[in-house]
Amino acid sequence: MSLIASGPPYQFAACSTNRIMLEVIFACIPGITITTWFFGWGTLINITLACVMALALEAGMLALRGRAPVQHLRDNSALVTAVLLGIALPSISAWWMIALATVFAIVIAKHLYGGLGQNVFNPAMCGYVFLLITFPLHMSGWHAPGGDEYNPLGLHSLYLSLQMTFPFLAGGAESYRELADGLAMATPLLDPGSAAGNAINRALEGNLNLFSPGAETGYEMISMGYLAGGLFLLFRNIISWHIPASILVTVAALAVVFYNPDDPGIYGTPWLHLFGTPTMLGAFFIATDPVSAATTPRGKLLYGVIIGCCIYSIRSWGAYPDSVAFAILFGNFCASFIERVTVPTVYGSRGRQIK
Amino acid sequence: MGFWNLISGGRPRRHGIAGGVRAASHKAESLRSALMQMPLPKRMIYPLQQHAGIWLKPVVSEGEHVLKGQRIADPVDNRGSPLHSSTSGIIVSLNDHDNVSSTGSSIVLTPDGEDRWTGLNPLSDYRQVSPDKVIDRIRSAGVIGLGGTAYSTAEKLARAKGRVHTLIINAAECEPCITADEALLRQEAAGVVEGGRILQYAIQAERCIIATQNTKIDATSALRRALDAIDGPSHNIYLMVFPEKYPTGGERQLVQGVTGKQVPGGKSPEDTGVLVQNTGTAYAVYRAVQSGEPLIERITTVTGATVRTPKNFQARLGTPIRFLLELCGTGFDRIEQVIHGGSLRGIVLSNLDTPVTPATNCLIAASKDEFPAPPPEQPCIRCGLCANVCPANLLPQQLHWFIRGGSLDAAASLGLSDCIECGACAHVCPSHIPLAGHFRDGKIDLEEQQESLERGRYWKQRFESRQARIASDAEERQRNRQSRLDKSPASVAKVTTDTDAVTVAGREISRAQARIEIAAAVARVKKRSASGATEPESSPEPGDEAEERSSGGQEHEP
Amino acid sequence: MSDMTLHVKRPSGASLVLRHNVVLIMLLGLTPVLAVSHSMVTAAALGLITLLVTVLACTTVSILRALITRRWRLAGFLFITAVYTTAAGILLQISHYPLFQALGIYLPLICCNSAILFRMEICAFRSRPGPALLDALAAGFGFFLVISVFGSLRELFSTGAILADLRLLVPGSQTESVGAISILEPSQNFMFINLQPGAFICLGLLVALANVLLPKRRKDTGNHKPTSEHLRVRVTQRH
Repeated sequence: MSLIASGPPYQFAACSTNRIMLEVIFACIPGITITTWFFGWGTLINITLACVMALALEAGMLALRGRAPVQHLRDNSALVTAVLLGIALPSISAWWMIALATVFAIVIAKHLYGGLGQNVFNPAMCGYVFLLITFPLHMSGWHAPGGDEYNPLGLHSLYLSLQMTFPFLAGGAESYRELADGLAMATPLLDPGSAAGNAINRALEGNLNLFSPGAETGYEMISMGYLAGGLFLLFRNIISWHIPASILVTVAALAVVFYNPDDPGIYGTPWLHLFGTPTMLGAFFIATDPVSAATTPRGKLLYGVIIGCCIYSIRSWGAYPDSVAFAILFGNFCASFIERVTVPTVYGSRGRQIK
Repeated sequence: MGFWNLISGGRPRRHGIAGGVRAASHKAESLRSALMQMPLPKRMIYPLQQHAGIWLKPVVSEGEHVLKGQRIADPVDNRGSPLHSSTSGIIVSLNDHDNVSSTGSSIVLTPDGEDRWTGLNPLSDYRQVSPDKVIDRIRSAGVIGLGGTAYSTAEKLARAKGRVHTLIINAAECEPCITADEALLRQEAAGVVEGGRILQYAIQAERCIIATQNTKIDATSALRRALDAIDGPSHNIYLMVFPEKYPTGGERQLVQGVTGKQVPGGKSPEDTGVLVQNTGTAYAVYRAVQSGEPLIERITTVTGATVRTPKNFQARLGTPIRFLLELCGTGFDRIEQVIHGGSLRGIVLSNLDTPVTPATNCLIAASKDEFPAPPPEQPCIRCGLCANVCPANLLPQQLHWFIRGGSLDAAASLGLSDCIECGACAHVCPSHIPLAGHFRDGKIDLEEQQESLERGRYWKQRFESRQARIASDAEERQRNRQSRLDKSPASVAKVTTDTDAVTVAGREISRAQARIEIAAAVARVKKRSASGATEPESSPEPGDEAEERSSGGQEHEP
Repeated sequence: MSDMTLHVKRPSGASLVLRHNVVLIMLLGLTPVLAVSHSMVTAAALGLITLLVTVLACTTVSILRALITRRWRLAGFLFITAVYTTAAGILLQISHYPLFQALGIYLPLICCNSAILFRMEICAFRSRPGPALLDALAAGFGFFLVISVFGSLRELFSTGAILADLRLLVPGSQTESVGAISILEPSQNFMFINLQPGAFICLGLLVALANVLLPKRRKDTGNHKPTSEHLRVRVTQRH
């Protein structure tokens, strides 16, 4: 009989960082599946590439920092970063863009700040914003919704996507550019037709199948997918309701206030702000990254409101088409200040002077 | 409040309790068997340290034969309670050091197997005597808190009397594995309720509330029956059922749940008009008053994966723990650790021959797989689960951050000292950080820091007062010298303004001459102090220095 | 002794060029380093002007140190630096007006460069003009070196070429590009380095590199003597 001297508690909840991270990845599956269904293999290729590179970089950085790579790699945090980055990047990104973003995310935004738990900013969003401000042109192309004649899941589509990712397969810069122009489109926000609409509603009215490529419901269905994943995370108690709720309520409220029924193209409809854009992904998956978010209950609400305001205002009045990443980075920036002013009242200390 | 009274008929309302975690309870195993009387072990051990800093002195001698319930040790001061023998037998030793986990010695007794009671002195109707008499009876019966604190119950009652409006009987045994109170309530609910009424009478509280948890179905219904069975005029004793959560049974948490008020940090519940007593204590009070029995046994849960038949015992105080484990058919070779207390707050025993004490509510003989050591610690990801479960509303992740970084002050300003060390944060931490341990250490460090600050302040004050004294002494010397000089006019040093001359100690010199002499003296002093930095600065008058030294010597006398 | 005095070891002489570089090691004067280093030519020009101003101002402070009272020394330092900075600005306007425009506010801001103030406080104010001049020369040269290297790195990575603004250096000229040396393919330009966050990150990496490459400095805390007579308490008998 050996009597080990260890302090209480001896009984632990079956919950681990590794598992939390895996469940976050699991919750992304509906969104990724729908993205692939509508837009082809690009996102999956992105994610695969980013994962491989992130794991390699993480292992390298851990070894450089004198940590045991195997044990720390098992926390799966690098995978979460890579998956979110792969989702966020345009599906027609070239491999070197993904590589640059991953390097920035893992090496600079994560490990130079001290690794998991110490990063002030969300690594995936850092990598994304880094690419966005470095290569604005490359990053502004959104994948075209695709027509009836285009089968996103076909072998040809896979070949096209691979050509986009590895430009040397395309055989020459000229054909590559043509290819890119064919697949890409401007952001839907810039297109008044889609800005005004509600594609799901239209498809339902027109008795179209929501999942048929011709219904043009792609972006909205993807948002639905991430909403479902986010609700799963809520249900599993991995994220709390505060941050997503306050972001969505803030964005919706601002969109309602500024909504102009006569010309919805200016600011867009509330529906567009919630579902036609990556708001859901940001609210449920990225802003809730615990390391870089505020952690006090009231702080989470305030954090969400700040992000929501930023999402809406950068999107409506800013120069960049996508605002979620900037908004979340700004929220990260505010998080420690928010925490400082929203410390909950400790039991029994009501009215006591806090030094 | 008024509206609530209207619809509830004056029944007290349940309030929310902050934080809390629902841990796997592991309670069902030990509740399968009924509460069991235990046979007599070969020897009994009674530690003479009742609680940290509370000591007892034996009132029996070696070789003396004592009866069950006979007083064998008295407290040194009024914080302790008398100790009674839990069976009849012969005192073998008064000074045994081997079998106590804490410091100090113990009385060892060999039972004679007769288990013969000494004469008992019950209070037939406690309502006929004054509350103080009841408290005295409880004191002489040696009842101490069975919830783990082991404070003298009578002392607590005496302090609470007149200040307390609500008495809470704590039957919300929330920590995993422990079922002692539940087992007691299943069999003796009426006794516990009666004990509650005695306590209520003793401190003259307006109402008494028995707090339990909704998972204790049998215990709750037994309590209901016992409450319904109380005859006589309307009583102010209520049952309050809380949802299952750890640590609902914490003293401060129950006060919050029952009254909605919070006990300020550093204060006790009595300061907010509430007294919390454990179920077992209430039953012990009942026995002490109704049948005059002193506190000689308590209910102890014996459970764990290596125990074949986990059950609850009416364990006599002083029984070696190994004996209890043997009674349950424990596979000793499979034991990894024996935990004294629950699985969230207990301590690991290093010696199984330590006896059952009033704090022994549970013994867990755990196997290797039952409570495995946590996986290696990972970095905190600030998930906030710990903050969600913290019953004190702290931010454990921030405290951890500051304690790790060595800034105890920042941790203190976030309320480190309000941590009740319940361990809920460490229980849920997905990165397996031993938060509770960090906070325990942090609190100790904080206390040490405070102490050294106090010490520093004390010495600074002494230094400053010494400086002031030296200054005033010098002034007085100066004054004395002045007066001496005044008395002998020939030696007065006075500056004559009309003539350009100075009179020093009767010697008349010119001002220029005086300046030269002063400059020479200053140069001498400078030279001397420059020649050795460590050399003390010599004062111009040797007498002064001597005086200063002597006063310094006085300073350092104890 | 004044409360403003810094209790640090006072490096001087040649070690100021690299081992105790004002930018990389002491992290002083970062504003101009970050602000004008997007192009090598502007960076080097500002570095050179700063070097000149440092040398002249430090020497002047050293010469005039008997006239400057301790209480008002900061005002004196700033005044002297401002005189030279203004002179440099006027001279630059005469000969290199485009360069003057390119440098913008950062030329006048030389007089607020903390590196210069630091050298005045640490060295020039307490030594004879000769050593003060050498000290200022070393510190200024260190500054010039770092800002030039940093500027060329940033220009290279953001535009793929260096010395693109060389025409600014030709006196009185407004002509087109004199000689940009293209090294990378211009289409692959790396805008990020040219932006403010890129400058910060780049500088951070450079500082990290310097920390790795330059010889380690000795820990010099705790070995300076107390500056004023402290009263001592004897507590040994108690413990």
